[in-house]
Amino acid sequence: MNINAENVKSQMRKGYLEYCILLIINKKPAYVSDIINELKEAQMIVVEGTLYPLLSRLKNNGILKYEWQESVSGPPRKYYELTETGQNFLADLETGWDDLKKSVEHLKGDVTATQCANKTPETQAEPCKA
Amino acid sequence: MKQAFTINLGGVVFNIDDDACERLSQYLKELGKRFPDEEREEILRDIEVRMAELLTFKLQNRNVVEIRDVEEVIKVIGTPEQFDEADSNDDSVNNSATTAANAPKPSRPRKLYRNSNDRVISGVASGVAAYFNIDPVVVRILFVVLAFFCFGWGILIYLILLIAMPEAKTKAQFLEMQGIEPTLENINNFQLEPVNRNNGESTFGKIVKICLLLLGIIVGVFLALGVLGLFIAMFASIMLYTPGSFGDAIDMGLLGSCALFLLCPVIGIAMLCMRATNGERKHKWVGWTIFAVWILSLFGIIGFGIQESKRSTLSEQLNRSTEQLDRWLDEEDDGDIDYYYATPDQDSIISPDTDEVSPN
Repeated sequence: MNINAENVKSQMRKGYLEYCILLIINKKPAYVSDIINELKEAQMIVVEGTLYPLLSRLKNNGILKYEWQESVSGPPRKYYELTETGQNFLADLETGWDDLKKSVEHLKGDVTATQCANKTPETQAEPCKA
Repeated sequence: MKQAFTINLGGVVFNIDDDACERLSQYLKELGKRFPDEEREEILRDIEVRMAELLTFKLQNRNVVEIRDVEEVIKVIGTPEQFDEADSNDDSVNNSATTAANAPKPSRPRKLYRNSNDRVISGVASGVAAYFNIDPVVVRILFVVLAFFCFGWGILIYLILLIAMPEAKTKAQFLEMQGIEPTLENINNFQLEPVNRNNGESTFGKIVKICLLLLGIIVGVFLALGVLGLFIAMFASIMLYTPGSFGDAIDMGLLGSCALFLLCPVIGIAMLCMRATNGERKHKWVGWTIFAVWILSLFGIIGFGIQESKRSTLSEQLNRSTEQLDRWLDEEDDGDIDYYYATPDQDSIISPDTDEVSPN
């Protein structure tokens, strides 16, 4: 597989797709179209179809559950919400995300620090944006 | 005018054109194949609901779903290929495990290729191993054993196979080598993973290559010397050619055939050594031409050799009979018995010493 920025970026996003879905559902019970709209806004998914297998998997693992609710127009809708396991799961992911963020920040900080250190005295006079 | 149907999509009733309906059901069928059995129905149902929602939104005041509506909805939901892309990163470990389990089974006769992907020298052994579906190591050991214990037959066989076996270069060829039908799907799924031995070549391979090169040089030098000698002989016989003497067409033919017979392997071995060292084989026909010329020269040697030997046995017989005659005459000289040969007319007898004809 070729490595290019777009590819890596989309993989990063995909890695956190479950986390994002859970975040959306955690706010309030949501039905698929809501989830899709929010994810699209956040540019987390390209095609909707990928979401369905994911939701079904999360549901089968006891992280999500759904309830049927009547809608104003059309057939009843599935509203997804987190189970108790789902809450714990989400908390787990949350720490995972924080850790990752910290790691990346840490590395980024290091990089900018070394960049500053490597600068010549003339340029060092300027304030270093670390 | 188009035929239209009424369908129930995710609990909503639609009027839909014939072609649009066909496209939709084909799409759903394709999607269904992507999902595991126990989840399929539910996922498809969810997707249908979503499609119905999108279609309702799109139709507004129109009555009939047309093919462009279906295409647009499919674009939003995504094609099965896009699903795969997303999935492949989702659980790549899981995926690779399933692909290993679902690896295409050999379904056709294998083809013999040199497997340069797994090579010690040039991939002949692993190619043969792939053909017989055995471990390449077994074939390698066999070659080495044959090389050391059977008068070097292993080396000869290896060289012949090196000439005869084309190198597998494309993915399709690698699949053919393993007896797998090179369909588009198989080719796409096939990943070439070079067997890690120092970028495809071991130190052993390098040593063997150097030995091969040295062997090639030594054999080449000796053969070249032999060819040179033959050329000199041929040249000399041309120079010394006088009408009626021995250096005639048969001799020339025999010498020429011998020269070619020796020259071809020299060129061939030189080419092989070059190929073994840089692994390239640019002109296939060169090898075959050399081989053809070599075979022709072999026939030439046999043909001219038979003629030559016929003639030489004739002259040898002649020589032998004269020698015998001489011996007899010598014996007669030393012995006590006077012995004379009668000439055909029996009128005179030839005396061995004087060649004089003595009167009867």
